[in-house]
Amino acid sequence: MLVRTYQKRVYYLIRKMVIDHDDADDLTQEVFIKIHRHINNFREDAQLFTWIYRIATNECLSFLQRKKRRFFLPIGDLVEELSSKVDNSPLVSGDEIQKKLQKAILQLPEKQRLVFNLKYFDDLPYEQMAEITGTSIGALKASYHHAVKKIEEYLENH
Amino acid sequence: MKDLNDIPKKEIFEVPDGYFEHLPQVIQSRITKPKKQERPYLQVVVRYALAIVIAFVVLWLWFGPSKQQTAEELLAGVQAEELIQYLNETGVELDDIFSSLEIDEVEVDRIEEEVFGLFPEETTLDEHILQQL
Repeated sequence: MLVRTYQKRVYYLIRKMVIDHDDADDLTQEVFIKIHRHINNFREDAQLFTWIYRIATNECLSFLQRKKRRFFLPIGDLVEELSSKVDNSPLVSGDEIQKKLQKAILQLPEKQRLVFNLKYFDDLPYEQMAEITGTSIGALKASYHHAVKKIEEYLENH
Repeated sequence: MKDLNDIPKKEIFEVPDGYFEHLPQVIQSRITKPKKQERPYLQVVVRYALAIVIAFVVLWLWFGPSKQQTAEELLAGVQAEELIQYLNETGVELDDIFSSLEIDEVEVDRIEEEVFGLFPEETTLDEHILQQL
């Protein structure tokens, strides 16, 4: 029941971070398995959705770190690899400008990318984002503002 | 295009057909699957046998012969009487042996003293050898 309720939100949050469907599939499964294992630790005062999102974001960031370490990838190479998946994957649709937007988002540092996705695509309030990321509301607002500026610059120059 | 608001928000990432219909079952099967499968008997036996072999090799290396002995060390373990008997049997003259060795006079004196010390003072090595014949 829990999986059916949250699977799409969790999957698309992860997918936007890792781009590849197979990676997103693996991570989504891992997230729900972890949720199942640790559901007893869930505190009633925290929103279930916030708690699930926090697990999902941690899984994403850990996965990207592992990927860089395992293949000794510099940041630029990872961005290049993910951008290439946006262009070539049969499971990515959308017109040119939407793909360009995704590639612009990929230029951001991972945590800023996460902040941008949570605000821009999921339209989460800053209070909820602060609970998920463990960052202050002020820092999140500044991070999102800078992210928008960088993306618009990228769109103008590419 | 510069303004982010000009781009329509659209989900461009797609999933294979039926993905979200099957995902709960996939996760459920992973959750209910036993964490560890029972290890086959042979695998356990091989694992323990390997551990014993490794332990044996380590013990042998630790307590076994420490190193190869040199020719000098081997020769030092042979009794002088046995050496003399060998020389008698093979007919090798002492002079031949001394001539093949690169030793100084001090060393020769030390050897002689060591060898002659085995016998009565009035007996020379040559005499002793002759007595053995």
